[in-house]
Amino acid sequence: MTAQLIINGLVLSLTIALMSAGMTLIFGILRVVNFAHGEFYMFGAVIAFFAMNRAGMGYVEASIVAIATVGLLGWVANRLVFRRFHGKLIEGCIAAIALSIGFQQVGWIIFGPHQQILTSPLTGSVEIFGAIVTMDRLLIIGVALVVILGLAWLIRYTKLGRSMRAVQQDSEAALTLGISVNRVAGLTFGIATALAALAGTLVGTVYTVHPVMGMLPLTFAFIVIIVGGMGSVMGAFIAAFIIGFQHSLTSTFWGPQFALGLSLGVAILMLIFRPRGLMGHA
Amino acid sequence: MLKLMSRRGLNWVIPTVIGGSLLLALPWFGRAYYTHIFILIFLNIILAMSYRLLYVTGLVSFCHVTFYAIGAYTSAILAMKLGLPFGICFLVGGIAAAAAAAFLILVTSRARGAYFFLISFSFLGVMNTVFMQWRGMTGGASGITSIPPIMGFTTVTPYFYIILAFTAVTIFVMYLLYRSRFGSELMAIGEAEDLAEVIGIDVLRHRMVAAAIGALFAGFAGSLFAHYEGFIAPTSFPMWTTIYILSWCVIGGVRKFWGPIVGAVLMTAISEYGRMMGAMQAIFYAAVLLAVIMAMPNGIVGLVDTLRTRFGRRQYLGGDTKLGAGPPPVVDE
Repeated sequence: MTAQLIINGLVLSLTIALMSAGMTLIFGILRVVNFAHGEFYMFGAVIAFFAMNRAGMGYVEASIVAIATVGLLGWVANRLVFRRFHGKLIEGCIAAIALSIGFQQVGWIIFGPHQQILTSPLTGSVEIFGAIVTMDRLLIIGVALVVILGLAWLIRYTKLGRSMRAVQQDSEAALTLGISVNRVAGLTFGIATALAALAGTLVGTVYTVHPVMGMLPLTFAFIVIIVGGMGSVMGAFIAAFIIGFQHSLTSTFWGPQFALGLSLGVAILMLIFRPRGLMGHA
Repeated sequence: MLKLMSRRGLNWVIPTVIGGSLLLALPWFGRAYYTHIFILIFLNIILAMSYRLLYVTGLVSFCHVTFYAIGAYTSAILAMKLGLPFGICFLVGGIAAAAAAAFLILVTSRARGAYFFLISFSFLGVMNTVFMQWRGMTGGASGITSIPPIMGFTTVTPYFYIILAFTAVTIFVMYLLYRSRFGSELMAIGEAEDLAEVIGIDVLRHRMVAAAIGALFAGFAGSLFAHYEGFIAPTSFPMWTTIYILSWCVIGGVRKFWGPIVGAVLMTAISEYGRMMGAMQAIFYAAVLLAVIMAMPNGIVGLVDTLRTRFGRRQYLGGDTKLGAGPPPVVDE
């Protein structure tokens, strides 16, 4: 029971960590809340589904194709739309909402109202501390953990990561130091949307793929970036674990219908008592 | 000056009279479907106008539809459980929404900008859970059915006039507020919060009052909607409505008084027209929204005003205005 709880909590925490890390990066760089993030997640799963079932690719190749395509799409979306809304919170939100409406409709048109599932490359299950864990869940945990550690390394130690942090702290000062804010923003957008697509392809093996699958993770990502502090990737990781386990515990002991409401309640309390979140700066 | 006034007056009076009489006559020659669409447009105008009030103080909320829903649920529950007449349900519905809004602003007084945006989003989510789960009161997912109609009217036409009249009242009240000192102070808070505080404006109290008045009218609109439709459920108040309200305001130009009205009318008409386009409707709506937000940052009314001051006759240079010299500054955000 306990082990099962931990595994479920981990799966949820890690997938929402992938989503919210991207959203919080975008917010940090461009000061825009990307409402279309859930649609990039959905596109990841949908493209992987088509690559597997129409082009006959394996799961791994299909995922790579999906992640690369969505990353490129994110870069283009930034280039054409988001770049113009740097620092304009509300206008940026509305532009993102417009993209979200349009993308979701594209999802309906190309995918239809079906619910499909991605075939996981790993089948069967193993027993860990008395809990029966299916291999597809273990795959999610493994891949997400590696990617999250990789992202933390990228932000902490690479030149790109330093540029990202510089732009986040003060984009004009970064510009005077010779950092191309537009280039950093484009790369950030590409990385963030690729992370969302990765989350989509991973979750698509456990839950169903459909055009509105992005709404719930988007809601989670909102909660997580509130609790973690907007713009802070570390805060987003910590908050993703808090919210993921809270959700898992509430669903098990109280009922799944209350879990989301309680998460939002946590977010409201956080905003009332510590508006900048766990790790955010004012 | 007299000449200018009279000519300008005439310019406004004739189209208003013609448009007004056409509007009043609509239920008698249009199909019931069109009457229904106009009722939706009226409700949307009320929502957009009431939303604008808090928006201009710099707090952009994401939960205006929740106040609409609180008004609708309160009114419907009072009518169903206690059998109260419509007038009382209507008043209490609005007051409940206003109280919720004032409370929200009070407890979130430290949140600004993006944080307030997200906190109000969370409030929307929590209230949705309440509407879904408090089955004894709200009927859960299946909602409340057969809500008694207003004074027993069962056709569309009386509702058209009732809601039209209430929309006119809303616009009138909002206009009075807009022209009042209080309205200017709200705009001042939105322009420069710290500066407004320095000159003695109580920012928190102003925001609470603005939110409460806005939610009051949203709640009234919700009550009208509940008794007009006769059925409400959580799906009647989806998150999208709040996005639509926000987009109407921004498309029309939220800092201008007429902006939200223009936005609400135009976009509701476009989305109703778009129903004929089937699957492309949402894409069309999204494209219009994106085009407007990218090309006209001050909205349609803002753009018209800018063009008028740039290319129109230099009426502001004349001696008969209070401004005296030069066109008024164009607010560029």
